[in-house]
Amino acid sequence: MINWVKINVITLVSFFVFFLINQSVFEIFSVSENINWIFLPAGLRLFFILVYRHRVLVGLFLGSLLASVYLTQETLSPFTLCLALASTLNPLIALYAMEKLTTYFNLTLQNLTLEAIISLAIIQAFFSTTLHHLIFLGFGKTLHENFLGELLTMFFGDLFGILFMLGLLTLGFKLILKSYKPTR
Amino acid sequence: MNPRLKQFLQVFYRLAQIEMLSETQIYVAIKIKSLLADKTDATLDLESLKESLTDLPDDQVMTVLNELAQKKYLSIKRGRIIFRQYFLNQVLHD
Repeated sequence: MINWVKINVITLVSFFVFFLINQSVFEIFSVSENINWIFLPAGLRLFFILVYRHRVLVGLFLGSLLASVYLTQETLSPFTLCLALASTLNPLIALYAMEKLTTYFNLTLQNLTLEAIISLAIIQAFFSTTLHHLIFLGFGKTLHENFLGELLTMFFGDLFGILFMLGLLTLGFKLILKSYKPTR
Repeated sequence: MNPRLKQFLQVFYRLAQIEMLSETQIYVAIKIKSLLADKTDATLDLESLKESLTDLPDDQVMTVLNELAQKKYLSIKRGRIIFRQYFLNQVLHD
């Protein structure tokens, strides 16, 4: 129970911190209040769901809810609740879809490859974009003439966000490897 | 450590290792991988590797092998190259 609380608090805090970093660092890539060409928290969502699966749903939901309330400047509303729910569920849907659709990925992550992670990132970006835009449409938050443009921006924003995070992780390992001197 | 976390991090650890290799090292590694594909043991004859890498001078092949040996991916003993399972299964995996 303590571990569960701990991992959910870590998820919530890191999601919101990365969201705030994204808002300030990549503000120039923002096309509207909800849509950005780079969305770092998407990478974090994928990481937490891949590793901890259902255990982090509460943390992800609360982190997303906090982000939605911050973005929309609304108090808790059906709109922000739906956005947070979509944000929480899309990586999980992507994970199970990937497991069903492919033969090279399993939920234990045995023999996980970069190819599988990138495929997962594309599937997650697809579900995230679809779910969010259904909600935007349902609540009348999208201008219909901008619909396709915003849809594509969100898809690539999620994808670039995930790839950016994965790049940072690789860079981290490269720095560790560079400082490592093998003993003979 | 959570086993799924370990698997996830390993992907990027491998990627970082591959990115640390030079183009020539990657070229030689790919050749090694193809030569080992039909073999049951993880060893290669040094001379036959040099012969199969016709577009690289022998001294350059030796330099690359020594660099890979320094990374502890392989060892060379009495004209045979012995590859570490980690190099074959993890680094060359991708």
